[in-house]
Amino acid sequence: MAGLLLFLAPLGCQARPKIFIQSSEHIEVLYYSPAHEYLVTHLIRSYENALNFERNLFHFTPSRKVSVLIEDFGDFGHGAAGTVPSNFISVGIAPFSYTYETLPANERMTWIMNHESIHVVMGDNANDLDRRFRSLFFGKVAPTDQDPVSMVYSSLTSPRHYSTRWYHEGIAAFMETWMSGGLGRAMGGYDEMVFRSMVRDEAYIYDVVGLEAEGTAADFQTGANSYLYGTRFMTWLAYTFGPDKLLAWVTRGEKTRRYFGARFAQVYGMGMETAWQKWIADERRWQESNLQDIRKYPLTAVERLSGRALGSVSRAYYDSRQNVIYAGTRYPGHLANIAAIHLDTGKIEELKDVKGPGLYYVTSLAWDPQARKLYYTSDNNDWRDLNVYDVETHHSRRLLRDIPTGDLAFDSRDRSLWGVRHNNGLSSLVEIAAPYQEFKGLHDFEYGTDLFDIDVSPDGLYLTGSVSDLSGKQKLVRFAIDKLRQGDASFEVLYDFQYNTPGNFVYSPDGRYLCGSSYRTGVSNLFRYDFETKKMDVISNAETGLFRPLPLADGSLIAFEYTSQGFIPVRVPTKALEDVSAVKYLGAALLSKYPELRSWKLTTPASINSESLLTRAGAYDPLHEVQLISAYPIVQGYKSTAAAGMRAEFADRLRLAGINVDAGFSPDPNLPAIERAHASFDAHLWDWKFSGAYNYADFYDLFGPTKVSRKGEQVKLGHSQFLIYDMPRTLSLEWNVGGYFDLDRLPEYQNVSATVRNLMEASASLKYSNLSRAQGAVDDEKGSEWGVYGRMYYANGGFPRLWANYDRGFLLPSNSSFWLRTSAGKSFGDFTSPFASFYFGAFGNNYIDHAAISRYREYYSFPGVAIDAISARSFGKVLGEYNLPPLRFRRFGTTWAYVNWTRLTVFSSGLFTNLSSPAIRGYYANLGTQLDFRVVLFTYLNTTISGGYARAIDQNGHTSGEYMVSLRIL
Amino acid sequence: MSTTTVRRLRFPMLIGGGIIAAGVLVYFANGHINSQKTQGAIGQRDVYRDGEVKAADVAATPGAAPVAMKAILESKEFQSLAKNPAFSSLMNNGAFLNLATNTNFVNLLSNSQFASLMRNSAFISLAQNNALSLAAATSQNSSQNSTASLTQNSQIQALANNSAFTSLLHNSNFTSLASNSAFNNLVASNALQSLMTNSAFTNLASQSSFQNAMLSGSVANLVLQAGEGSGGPATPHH
Repeated sequence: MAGLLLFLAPLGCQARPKIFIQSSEHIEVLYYSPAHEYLVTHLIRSYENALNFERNLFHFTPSRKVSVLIEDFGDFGHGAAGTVPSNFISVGIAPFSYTYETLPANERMTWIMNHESIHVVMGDNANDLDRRFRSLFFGKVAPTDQDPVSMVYSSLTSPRHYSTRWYHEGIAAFMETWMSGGLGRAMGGYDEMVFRSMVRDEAYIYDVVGLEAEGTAADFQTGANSYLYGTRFMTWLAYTFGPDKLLAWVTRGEKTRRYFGARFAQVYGMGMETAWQKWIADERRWQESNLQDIRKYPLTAVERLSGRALGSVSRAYYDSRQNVIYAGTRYPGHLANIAAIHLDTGKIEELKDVKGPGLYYVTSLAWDPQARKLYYTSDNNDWRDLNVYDVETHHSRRLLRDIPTGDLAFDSRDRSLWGVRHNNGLSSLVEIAAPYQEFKGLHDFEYGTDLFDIDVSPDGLYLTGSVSDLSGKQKLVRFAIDKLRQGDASFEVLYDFQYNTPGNFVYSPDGRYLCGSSYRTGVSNLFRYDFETKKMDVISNAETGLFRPLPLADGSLIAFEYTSQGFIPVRVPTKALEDVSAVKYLGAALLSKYPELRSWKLTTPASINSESLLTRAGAYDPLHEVQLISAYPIVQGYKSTAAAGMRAEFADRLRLAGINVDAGFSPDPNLPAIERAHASFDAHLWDWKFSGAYNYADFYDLFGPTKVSRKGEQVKLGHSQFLIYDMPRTLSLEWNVGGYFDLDRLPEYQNVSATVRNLMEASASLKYSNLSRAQGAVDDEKGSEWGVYGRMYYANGGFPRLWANYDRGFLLPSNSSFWLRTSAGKSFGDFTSPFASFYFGAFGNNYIDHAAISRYREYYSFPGVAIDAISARSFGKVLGEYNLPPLRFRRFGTTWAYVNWTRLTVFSSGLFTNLSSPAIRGYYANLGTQLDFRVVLFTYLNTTISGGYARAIDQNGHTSGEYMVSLRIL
Repeated sequence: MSTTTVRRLRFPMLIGGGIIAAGVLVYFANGHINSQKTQGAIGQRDVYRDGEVKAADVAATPGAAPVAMKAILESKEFQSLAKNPAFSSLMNNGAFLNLATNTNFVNLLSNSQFASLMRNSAFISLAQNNALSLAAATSQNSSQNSTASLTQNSQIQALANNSAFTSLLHNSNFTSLASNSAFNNLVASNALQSLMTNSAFTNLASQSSFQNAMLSGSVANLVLQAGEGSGGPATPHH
């Protein structure tokens, strides 16, 4: 929830949007575009319908209304839910990506509401004890790093929120399947294939700890593994022990254990880790049986064309001149890229990084063989851009920005590009004529009808694609291009796949066939449609799954075989088969054993009476919607004393406006009476921030050498905005004005006494960042960032200063990286004043901390010497940093506390001070190292234990050393 | 059995044998081969799918947004604008209402370069002469040709060094509208010129909610509804 402002950042470059609200008894839907209003009533009815079901099944009563934000910031639909501190769901209304049939194609607003409402049930459901804590703290407490005791209160008020991600996603995906009448992951071909492949390949199947510690980061499927494993485990539990026991585990009722793992043991009489091992053993048996069924008939003999798996892959193209295939790829340790796979050697040549790759489809790719250019989309998780890459010159450029269009297909007749545009929840067919400077919409489909995986016939007369409807039924269809251009979007149905996705059907070079894939047999096999005979043949009997066929001119076929490490290009014989076995799905076996699951299918949302549904409709003004979220006791540090007090948080549903207030008192009699009371607040409204403090106290001043508490009063007004928001590329402008009164230390430098009591401050910064990281990374690994900063202190005269930094990183093998970080600055004003100097020294980490773990990267840090030990009127600094490959732990801990990764860094920096004054010019150098361990507590509380040592030397040869130990919370 | 008897019975025996063979074939084809193999030996996955959804169950038809429109009408920005005669004039201008559903035009209204040019007399003269298309055409040519074209028209010549103008020439929203005579007339109208210098209007025009209202055609009712009064509280929309 704290990230909601960032979530709304795409709006940051626009004028402040007007927000609208419509609410019913249990849900309020917020939206910023009237073009999204047509979905509001349906969303409300879908949620109320789901709630009626969940109220009975889980004995659930929501603590507060669920706030739902409708947004269209991404080109593919998605949902997210949170319950701390309030119940919130975001709904990305764009059509889904149906790549590899990872998602069903049925009506998605109901489907999203079914899934996300289960998250709300799991996180918000409470028993009497939880409700008493919620009452005590005026609501559910959100953990904040500013007052870490909030973590304890948060776990008391929302115990089941602190369950692993696979638990939350697993139960949501399991339930969504039955609530939607079998359309969901628990009955999905992709999930079945993933585990069949792991068994076939004898691959490592993560255990209950390693899944979150390593599996969701180092594996090519990253976070999707939480869904895959979680759903499978839930399905196995229901199959083995019955759905009732599963419900008993996940329902937070009276006399149930707080922690989800403890409750598991209470229900099943065994530890969760034991059950997980039993599931893996059963899974192997289940998949061996399926593999035996597949092997009843001859398997398709494939010839592998590369030595390694490519992770996720896009649609591919064959270049006969180079004997390579081009495809977008995404696999661990590398940035997603468009690669040339050399068919003679198997070499994978990375041609061009893809900015913002899609998880499974990477990028929409099209190929112009005459001009020898690849067209591809970037920002695939946001609003996509269209780009071109010249395979001869290796130059690329962006053609169109923020056109929410993909599924590209190239028309060789007139060199136009065709694509499918997603806008305001609707699919449209568009044409982008050469030279690709603008697109033209040719047909808008009705809501719920989506077109994907299009292709254009070699003669340019027809456009084919897969069309899905509200029920999730899908057809392979053909449009006549000339008719499309005349406004006639009628199509011919080539083949009705019912509830199976026709995947990536593409023309053979002679135009006679369409080749694609489908899970019709349960396994994703290759299919070939013959335009002459109008017959659909199956042409493979695959053990795992074959996808994205690429018919070649000589009649042969290249496709991508799914393996436990991702997709591998293979050559496949093209022979129509007569005998292919079906495989069994665990979800189907569960249903056969427990047919009562059919009764979990929800009635139509239309059954909710819309006449008396709405209780409010109109404008939403964040400032007028601010309410108390929670209030709780806190402890803080002030200088060397401890203080106790209260914190209260107020905010609106979208966190666009809010204020946090801390108030405390230090009882230490050694402290002057005037310094014993403490208060602070920070308020925000959209991009504006206003904060103030009286004898500012801070939790982290209780620990370690770094102190940020300050005597006196301070008040600050600030504004920040994005000038560029094109993730990961951003340019932000921030300014602040403030005043400090009755100071005894400088605001920035704890060891420097203030020579004046009152001080005014104005500052501004312009920051650019364009950083990226490969799969499996623990930190940014490549790119650049810079900043220009200015600050003016006014205290009996002005003290302006300017400084800047420029950092550049280089990705090295195995998620290691090298960084060069530079900074320089100069201050002005009376040089005898402490306000006129920069101060440097130390790592800067506290024993217990909440700021950045790699503080040695900051311009003011200089490990090896004491805090603020070096002063300078001007400076230049260079830091070289090598981050060794991180080591991830498959099993180091238990479900509620495990070590995620460790990383060693070696750095060295040189600092040059007072450059323009030879008499006081100084030179310093240091060499240091830092070792970090990431420890995850209760799934969401990321903490980092860091240790470091650095040794510094000055121009006179004096040396000094510094040790650093720090625990960073959140 | 004699040879003669065999010859005599051979046809009935053949026919009978054929019937028996056909019966055996039918029996094994339909009765004793398991159901998987009857699927032409191409098995079909056995999955539960009960997902029939009718359009009436969803009732999600893009278009009108009465709640948002009402909220816009009640906003201070709009209330202020509604009293502006230029705004009323624009809302009654058929050309504007027609162009308001054009994405290029809606985008252009929030374009700062276009807004600054609406204060430029040479640019207005171009529109009055229906010559915006001539200017736009220069952006389609090579740079030398562009320069040549620019010098042929005094108004264009006056704008040649205007960075907003040269930037606008490369803006696809503008170039696609430049040859539209309704657009030229609208640019030449006092109402639009007046409103493009009105910060309340330009702020409203940059709001996605207002833009969507225009694109959906709802803007035609704005002044009418504003005139009917909209000071009361928002009521639920069913």
